[in-house]
Amino acid sequence: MRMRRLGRTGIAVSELTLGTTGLGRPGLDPAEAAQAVDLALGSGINTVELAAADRQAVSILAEAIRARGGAAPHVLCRATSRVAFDLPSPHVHAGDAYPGAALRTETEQLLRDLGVERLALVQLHAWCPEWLDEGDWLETLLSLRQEGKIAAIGVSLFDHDVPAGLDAVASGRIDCVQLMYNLFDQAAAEEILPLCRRHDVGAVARSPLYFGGLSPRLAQPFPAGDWRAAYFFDSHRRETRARAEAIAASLGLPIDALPALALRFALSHPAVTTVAVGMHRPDHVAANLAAAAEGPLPAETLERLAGHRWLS
Amino acid sequence: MTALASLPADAGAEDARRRLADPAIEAVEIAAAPLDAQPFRDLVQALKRAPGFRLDFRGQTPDEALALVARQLFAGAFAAERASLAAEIERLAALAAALVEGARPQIALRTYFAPGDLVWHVDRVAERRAFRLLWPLGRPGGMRVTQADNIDPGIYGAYMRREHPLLCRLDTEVLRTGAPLETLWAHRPAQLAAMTTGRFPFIVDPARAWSVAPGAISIHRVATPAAQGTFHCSSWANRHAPGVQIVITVAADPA
Repeated sequence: MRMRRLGRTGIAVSELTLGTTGLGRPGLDPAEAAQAVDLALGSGINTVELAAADRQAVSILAEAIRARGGAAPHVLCRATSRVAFDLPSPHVHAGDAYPGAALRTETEQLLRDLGVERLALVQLHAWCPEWLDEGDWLETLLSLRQEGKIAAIGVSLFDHDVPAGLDAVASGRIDCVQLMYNLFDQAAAEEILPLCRRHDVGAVARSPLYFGGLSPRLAQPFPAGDWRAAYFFDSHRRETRARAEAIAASLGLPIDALPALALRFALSHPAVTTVAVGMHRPDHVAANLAAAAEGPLPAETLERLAGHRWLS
Repeated sequence: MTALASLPADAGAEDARRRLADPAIEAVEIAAAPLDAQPFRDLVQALKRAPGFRLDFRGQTPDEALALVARQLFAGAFAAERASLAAEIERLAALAAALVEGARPQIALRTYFAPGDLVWHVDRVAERRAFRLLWPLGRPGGMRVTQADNIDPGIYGAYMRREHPLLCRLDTEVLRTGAPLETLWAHRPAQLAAMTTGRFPFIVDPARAWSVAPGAISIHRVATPAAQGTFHCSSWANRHAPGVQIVITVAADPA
């Protein structure tokens, strides 16, 4: 597993990050999920992305860390907003969504729960540009960083909302940005990823498989209880499926080859520090490791794939 | 049952308030004289020919804001027309302000077409009580409204999770570059078709949509932490002829 530098923090993170969203998804075998986590951490993946509020994922990860011993993985933590909202909203004040006291409490609790001394990153999700100068989130995270409880401060951009992160990256106040980057949404490559390089800000690319849309998985609807069943409403699922098939066909590949292609696409941008991808079964881990080992895609393939952007 | 209540041109704030107090009514429309009969028609026609823009008055009086526009675009011309239009905006701002106790009207003038308006949405503010008044001048199509129960909430949530940031970006790009949305979204034909036809996957019954009469003034609810907003969208007919739109928002927290 190749390592990349997490921006100005200098932390060496694996180019694949274990995404834990959905580890507690209905229908998943918890034992199998735990095996997948153990296999990932034992195969050179040293970074985990985690929502602090996802108690099931925290529990599985804590157990894996305890059982494995040795060096704990770098944890990229998404803080919990105190205000529920469906979309990023400038009408929600940063001080209401992410009050400093709550950030501190949650960070310190997560350190105890995971049994680690330091989180690699705490990031504010569904970031709004207006928040840069609002609330006490920054001074709190700076204090936590100074105390050695976190290594980096970051923001996580809502799906497809790349412009929201431009000011934050250029401000010098954050060390890392998380964003959606995949074959359907290639917008990050245009502006924010080059900006990250210029300011030495780490970039975590998430959703490289578009929630399963860039895989053969979408041939069937998702089971009830899986949030993707609602997300991929009928016309969305059909269009995603048709577009995924078109990508594979344009390269003369079977649809089964799409996940590896999609993962390598996300890894191919030099400003991407790490790609967070869900791995809930050991065979997912093995397949993703094999894809990453293939390295970046050739320039001519990337050029052809540029024509398949849809969600940007 | 209609979600749109019609009021005569001389209707006042009390009439609008009474109709909007009925939860079945999503918006009121107030008749207005056609643009050709308005004393400021030449100013509006000139604004329609200028490149699209949006101006938030930000505390300026309508007279001051229109003077600024006239200085920048027309070397200060249209003095009489400006005074007449400013007086009418003042009247409507007072009418809107009377709907929400303690509200100061926020006024904007817009001559560009925001493609995001073609998708059913609610306007939002942080205050607890709010309304928005729209006065379109020279727009061929009136705003469309529907009831909340005509929107499938699950599909709408999923649709907007995917589309909302893309629509915001599209609006910005159209404002900045003036590029046609058909060009900017040529790689998204299904989403473009939905904008053109109004057939979105989250609409339960396409027949349950009501159009404000072209040129009429309308007032609708704005979503707040305490109240649901009115689902509305623009007509594709406005895409190539956005006209001039006066937008007055009134919002406040009850004392």
